[in-house]
Amino acid sequence: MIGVVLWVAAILCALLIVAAIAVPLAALAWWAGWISAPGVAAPLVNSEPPRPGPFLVYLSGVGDISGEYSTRYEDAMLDALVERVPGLQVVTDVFAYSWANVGLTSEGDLGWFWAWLNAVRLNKRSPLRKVGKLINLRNVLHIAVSADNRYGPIYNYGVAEMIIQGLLRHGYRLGSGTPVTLLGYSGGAQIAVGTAGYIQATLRTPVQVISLGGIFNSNSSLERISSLVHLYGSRDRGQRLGQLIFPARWPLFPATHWGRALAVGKVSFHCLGPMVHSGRGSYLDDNERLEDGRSFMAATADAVAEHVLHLGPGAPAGVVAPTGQGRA
Amino acid sequence: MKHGPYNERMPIELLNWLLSPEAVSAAALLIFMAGLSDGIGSQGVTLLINRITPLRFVLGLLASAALFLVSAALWVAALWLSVRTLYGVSVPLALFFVAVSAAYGPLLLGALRLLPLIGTPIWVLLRLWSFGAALASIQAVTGLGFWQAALGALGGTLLLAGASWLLSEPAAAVGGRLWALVTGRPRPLERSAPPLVIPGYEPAIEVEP
Repeated sequence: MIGVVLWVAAILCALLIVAAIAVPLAALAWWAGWISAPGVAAPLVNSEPPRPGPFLVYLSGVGDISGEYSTRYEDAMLDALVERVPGLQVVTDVFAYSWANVGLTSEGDLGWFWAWLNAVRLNKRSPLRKVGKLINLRNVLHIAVSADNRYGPIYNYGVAEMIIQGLLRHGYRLGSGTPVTLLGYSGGAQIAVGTAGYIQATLRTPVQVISLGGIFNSNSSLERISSLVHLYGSRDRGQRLGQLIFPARWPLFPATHWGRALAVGKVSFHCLGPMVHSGRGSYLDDNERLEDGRSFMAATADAVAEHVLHLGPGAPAGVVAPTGQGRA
Repeated sequence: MKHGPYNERMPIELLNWLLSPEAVSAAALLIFMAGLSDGIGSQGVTLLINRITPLRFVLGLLASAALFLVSAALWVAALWLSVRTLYGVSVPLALFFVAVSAAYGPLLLGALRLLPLIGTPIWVLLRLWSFGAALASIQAVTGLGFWQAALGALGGTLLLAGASWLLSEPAAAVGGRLWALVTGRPRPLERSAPPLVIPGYEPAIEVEP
């Protein structure tokens, strides 16, 4: 019996290693021109009439399966955000965990598998519900690729192009100088940080990153963006991972991109309250309340709105975001 | 202190096989395969980033594995010369090569370096494992103690480093020509990042950032 368990564990480990290696290889093969990116549209296409903005791109956490998929909690928070920021254009149709913006259910060979997994994890009575965590694992591998210095530049370049195409789809006008905010939740913050430098350099406009309980590595983007705001909950242990697992963010190494961004005041921290990373009591919970009576979700929307409004038109690169209330 | 021709505790059948041409070929194949795996984990990324064609990618990896075998053979020869000079050990070079080739076994997993984030730390551990195995192999085949083997390995490595320094210019020229031949690029490839500005999306009107 123990032998069978060991064999199964070994096979699962081997599959995991193969999957983990396949993610960066696929991105590199795309970069080398060996495979095509099915989601890439022709550039410079404005499918919507130009809009003044401001623009916010929302990059969801590791539970995401496509650009079209979002939870009702995320929708509610983004709706609340639109109410708080006049004219805000929210781009949600970019899937952060694909360099070609191809959702899991749209993948040619494995689309059916991911669709089945998603159905299983959403079914509260299914005994296989936990298997749905494979979606999270798959997306974590993409975050690792984005955070890796060898593959990150290629992967983030691809996703940055998908984000720019998303902005164009939502009426962003090239050359308008309209600021762009990238809001990344959890692992989405890594993708936001990784892509922000390309977006800023390409659009030549102020770009800020708002990390909502984000887990991210140091990145050269930090030299180019206007600011990085890290919103966090005091009970969110997940967001502390980024500080722990990425040596470039350790105080021991002040000469990294992260260290330099901290030194010039580009990075700010804002504790939202006693939020946890996900689920009940998280940033998107509209039932739990702060002492001032606001729901956790409303407090999150308030904080994000404050920073989006701060990055007004014509904000110079290197602008320092409002001072945070604490430090993660 | 003079040591025997080789470790007398070694069974005669094993010794006979280790001295055979088949054993030398198997050792060379092991090092070549380790070089291939190691090349996939390191050189493979550089080749792909430089947008090489699939055919040249394969040729590049094979050339990288061949160079790995040559450098491994030179290192083993330098080790052999070092322990022979320092301790007067008289072990046939072929036997020494076969024994030390076992140290390249861990590098068969060198492709694991491709793993995002944890790949490079794993690769460093594999290198340390390989070096430890090399010391153990030297001890087994010569009968030397650990620190003697370590000093011998250090001497061999320094010898090879000195020779490389002396021959660095012609070696670089040969290496450059080999890379140009297999990759179709004028000089050895370097890892480079994609451009910051994504073509096709630059603003039509210049604006101050």
